[in-house]
Amino acid sequence: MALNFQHRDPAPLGRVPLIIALAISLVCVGVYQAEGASGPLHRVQAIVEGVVAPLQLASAPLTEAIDDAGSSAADNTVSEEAYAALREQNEIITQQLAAAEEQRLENERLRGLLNLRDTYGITGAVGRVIGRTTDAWNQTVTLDVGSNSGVETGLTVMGPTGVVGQVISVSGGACRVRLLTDPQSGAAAMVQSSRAEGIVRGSMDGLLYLENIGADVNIQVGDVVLTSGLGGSYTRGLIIGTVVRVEGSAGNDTRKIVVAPNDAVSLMEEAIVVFSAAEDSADRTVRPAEPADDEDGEDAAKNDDGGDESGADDGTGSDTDAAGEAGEEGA
Amino acid sequence: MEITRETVASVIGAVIAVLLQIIVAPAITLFAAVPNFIIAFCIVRAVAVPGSAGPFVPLVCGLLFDLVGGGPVGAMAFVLVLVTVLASRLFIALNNDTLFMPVAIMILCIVLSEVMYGLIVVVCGADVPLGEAFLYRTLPCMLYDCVIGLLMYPIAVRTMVDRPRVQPGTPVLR
Repeated sequence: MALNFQHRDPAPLGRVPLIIALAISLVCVGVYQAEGASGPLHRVQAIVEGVVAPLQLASAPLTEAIDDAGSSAADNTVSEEAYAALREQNEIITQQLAAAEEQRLENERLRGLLNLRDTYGITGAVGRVIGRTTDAWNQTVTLDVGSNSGVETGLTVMGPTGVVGQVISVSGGACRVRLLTDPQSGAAAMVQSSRAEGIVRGSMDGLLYLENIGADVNIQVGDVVLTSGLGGSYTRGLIIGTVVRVEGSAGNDTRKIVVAPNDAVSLMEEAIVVFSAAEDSADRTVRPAEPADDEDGEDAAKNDDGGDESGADDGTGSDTDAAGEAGEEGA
Repeated sequence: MEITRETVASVIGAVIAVLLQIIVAPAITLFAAVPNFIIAFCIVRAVAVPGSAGPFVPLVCGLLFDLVGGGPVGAMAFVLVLVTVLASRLFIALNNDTLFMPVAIMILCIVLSEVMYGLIVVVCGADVPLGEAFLYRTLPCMLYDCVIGLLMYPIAVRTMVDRPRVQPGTPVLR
């Protein structure tokens, strides 16, 4: 038997509503493209973003729940009856431990932000990440600070260890930040050791590329990349990341320089919207991000002491040295 | 305007799709592929009730998607209006009482929507090569949307379609 799910209704689709709908949408696209960032459609977009920001808060626990789903599935085979009492006790301890761990991690992150603020002499507003991108074409996050806290479009945003993006729209209590990894992002940048200037761009594959660097400039793996402040779009002298791969050699126009962001944006929970930074922040010693599994800081200590053992692959030791040298030169 | 079961189901479905897009989609992102519940819902609706699926719901859903996301306002609305009309007309013309045809039309239209939206985003100023845009965004997103569309279709048929009354004892497909 053929499957017939359909209720046959040969009523013709009206052409007038269709033409009107197409016209409305095309006019919207045209106006949106023609108007500036302060145009009416951009403003409406910012208002809607402010309205849905509380809804986006709901997705955070959902993300955690989905992450935990795999591990929970593995526990399903354990007999509930035999271990009921122990499980109950375990749950209480786990909850307490989780709360303590959460506070410790938050404490660590906030301390990182404060350190960064002190290092660079930053004034700004600290906000929590309350939403992430709802479509595949924009790499954005929403912070819970807005125009009420003095945030404006175009300000630089830093995570605990480096620049993560720029504010693109603001509502009263929230702002949307376009991440550096978005293909539409571009930050005027410079290499700290050589002072060579270029542009760091995001890409579809999620990597950051350092472009428009002079062909004769020698770039090494491990060089620290900072914002140069050219064009005024990003605050000068803030760390973006480190060079992790150079394809091609100096003198080659087609060489590709891959930069690893100093901050893991996917894990970021707080960020600073930078209002201003110290004038000489570009010359201050910066410390590239430590590996995630380095809990007791032993590796970092090794790198600080010599760093040669780790070689040029991770570049951590040489980054610190290069940054230090640059700082001395600047001084 | 007459309030029918289709209308009510369409409005409720649209609201749920928008909420899912805001709350759930960011949480179930796979690499760079964010599922698009709004595209899936509008196309599934166009195939499930082809005779009465007008351009209003796709227009509103598309505008909401554009306003909530960061893309050019009107782009998704334009794509959805065009593609849902195409889906409805194709289905009215090609329906042969099998399950294959609605599923094929649905998948074709989801692919078309993602490709068109990607093209518009690139044309409207996203400074990315078309090939990369297709490989890293359009392709994974369309696959994700197709899966969601396939899951949504049986639910949509169950909830939106008014079944014609039959004589007692007539065998019906359940």
